[in-house]
Amino acid sequence: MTALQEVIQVPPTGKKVRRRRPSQSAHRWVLLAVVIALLVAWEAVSRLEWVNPMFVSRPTDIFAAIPDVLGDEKAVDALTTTGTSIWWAIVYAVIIGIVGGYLLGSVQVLRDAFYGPVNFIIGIPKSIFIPIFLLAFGINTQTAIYYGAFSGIFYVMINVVGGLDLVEDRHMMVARAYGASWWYRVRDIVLPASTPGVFAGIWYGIKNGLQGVLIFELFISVGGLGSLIKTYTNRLEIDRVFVVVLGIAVISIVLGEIWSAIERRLSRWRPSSTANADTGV
Amino acid sequence: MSATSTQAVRGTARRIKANVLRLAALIALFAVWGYAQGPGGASTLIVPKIGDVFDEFLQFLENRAVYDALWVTLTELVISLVIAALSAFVVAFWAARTDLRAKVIEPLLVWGYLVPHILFYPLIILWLGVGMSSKIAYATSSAFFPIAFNCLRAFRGVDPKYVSVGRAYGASKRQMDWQIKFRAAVPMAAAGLRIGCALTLVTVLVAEMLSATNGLGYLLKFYSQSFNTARSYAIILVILLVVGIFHLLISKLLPKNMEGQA
Amino acid sequence: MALQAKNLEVTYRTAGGRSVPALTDINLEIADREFVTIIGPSGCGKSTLLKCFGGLLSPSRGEVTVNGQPVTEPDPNRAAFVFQDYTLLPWKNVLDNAAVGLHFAGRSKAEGRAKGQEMLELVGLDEFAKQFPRELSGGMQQRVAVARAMAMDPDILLMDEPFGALDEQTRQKLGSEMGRILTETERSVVMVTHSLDEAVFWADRIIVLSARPGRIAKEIEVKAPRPRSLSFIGTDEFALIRAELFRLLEVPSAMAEASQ
Repeated sequence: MTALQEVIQVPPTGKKVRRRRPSQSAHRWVLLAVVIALLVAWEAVSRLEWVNPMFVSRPTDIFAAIPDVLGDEKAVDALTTTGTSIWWAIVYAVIIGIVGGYLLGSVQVLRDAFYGPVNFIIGIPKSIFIPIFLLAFGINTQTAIYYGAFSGIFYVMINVVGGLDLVEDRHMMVARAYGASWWYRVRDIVLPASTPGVFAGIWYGIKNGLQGVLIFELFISVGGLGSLIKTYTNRLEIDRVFVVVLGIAVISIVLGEIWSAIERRLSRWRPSSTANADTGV
Repeated sequence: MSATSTQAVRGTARRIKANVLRLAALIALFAVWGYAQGPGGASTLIVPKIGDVFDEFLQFLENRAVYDALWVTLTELVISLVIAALSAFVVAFWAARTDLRAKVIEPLLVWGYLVPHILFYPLIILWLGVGMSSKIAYATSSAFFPIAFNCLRAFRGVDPKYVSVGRAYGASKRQMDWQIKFRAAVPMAAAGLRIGCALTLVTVLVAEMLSATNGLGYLLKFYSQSFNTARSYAIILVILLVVGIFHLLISKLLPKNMEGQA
Repeated sequence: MALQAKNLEVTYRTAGGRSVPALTDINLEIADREFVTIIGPSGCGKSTLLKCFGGLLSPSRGEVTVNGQPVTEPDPNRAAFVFQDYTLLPWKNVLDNAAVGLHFAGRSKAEGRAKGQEMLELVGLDEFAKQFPRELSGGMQQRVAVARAMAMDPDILLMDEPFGALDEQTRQKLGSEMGRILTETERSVVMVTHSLDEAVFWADRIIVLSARPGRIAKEIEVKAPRPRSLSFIGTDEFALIRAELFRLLEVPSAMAEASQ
């Protein structure tokens, strides 16, 4: 029904399964070199004034601005506010999404009725509902949390349903043949078999919950990083904007990599044919 | 024969049940709305009258401004999608040709995807202004990474058996690229493109809502900030309609199962 | 007598509401420690019959009893299954897989581990206890599946083409090893197979099922004492019975005649 299903089922970071071996590490140095080259090019373009340095700043200035931002009480406040909002948005999205997903996936009538609509909601730009959230809950950080949770919930649900589809009949038959009660079947077959879907769901819940909170903060001033970035931009403190933006970017990347490492570890049991299917040749 | 007919009957029964449930959910929604409006005593500033929203919606269908906004949004959408898809395709194809390139480019693409692009939007506005170009830049940068990542995976993941067949039958380098690698990669690349389509739509509308001078997102923001609630709800309906048609088009043009064409 | 099937009949109801008989008129007794193989043309209901024996499927008519107790639902202590595609749980390690039946029965972890370890030793895989199934070859996985069944101390082992998914060499190696294990443990075994050689080599008695609806076309006894060495394959008895099976399964009229 919608176009997003693939992205849901393949978290892009979860797939680099290759083990680190010295002979294979050459590309890491090249990667580092590329990143450095990009930074140098940025610096050069700015210093040679090919573009207006006032608008694009430069890596050295940004680096020098880190203590300024960290010393800015408003910045620290904004980070705390946004961090808290994101945390609660994700918690709501994941919990409601997982419970809802298991319900939607395992009750046939519900699935028949609402899988399609939920899938459609995923394809809708959630931002168009921000005005309704504002009307209903007011202009405050709590609303940012609700909107963030709303942005993430449906991704979690759809992926949990996808996870339930991974439960194989033959494993259920083994459980029956070996006398497993309902509870054991859920605990030892359904839950472990559906973990890949749950993981993908949490992943997309986090990504979209986080994005939702940031979008909300940029749309309407309720404090937090959104307002901070807007303030810095309006004052043309571009190096400070970059400290915040790149800081969040680096945090996102690091968290993403940690997440995929955890997921790799927890899904060791998965047959290599599916786990590494797209590692490439 | 009779087997299929009973199956059909059972299928129909299931469909009826599902539709009853959907209807019930819809009725519940309107009931809550109606309650809030009447006995609940909510202000029309928050919950507009259902009839008003419907009237506004009908008026929109004849409103020149709405079609102008739609045109702006669609233009931004198509331009970003074309730029993102083409550049992603070229980068992925170039990167897939050697092992080293692929290994260096892939993490960059993943990182580019992990970063919340929305944070850059105020800067993009600063650089490109509030016109269409800032929306296009933002949507393009958001859609580029998932498309490129999927295409790279697609080109890298081409089943070696096809490549062996190509070699065994003496395919030239160029034939190998176009007849074998490209063809075999179509399904996954198409998946990337579908994601890109959906993402462009989402990002274009967000961008218009944050700051713009025209477009459907801009209209929504304008009406909601002028507390014209019925109109805000009506424009949301318009956007939902556009989104629905857009997704229908995607599923027709880029079907899930492309194996037949690959 | 370990297992008895009386007037067993299984009919499937198609989506159209018609009933299609899969098995009819099955009367069978399996003695303690007897090894019975079931063979028949594909689609004759061999696996269906095995599922009835194990309680995974309720017959439309008739009943199955194990040691006099009617079978209504699966009870791995009574009859434990070994499936064709092993179906180990991929997220549990080998030891936990072997002990999974005890786990489902609510036994303590220590008890399960001890019993599982013992069974893994029996099938020669105790060193692989901490490995995950995907790290084992098909033959090894099937041995774990056998250990899983044996851990339940079942009265009967029900094996559904246990070597069907393995290549010829693994099949032979695993076969002779299993022969030793199954003979040592002195259990009744019912094994479904589509291989003539397997059917003869293993069995005290071969049950030949006719094509759909499956009914018992013929019972053939194999007199040679078990466990048998591979040299049994060279004997006249083996050759004669194999030829008989071949005739029954490949020549339609022969089967029809036998079914009368």
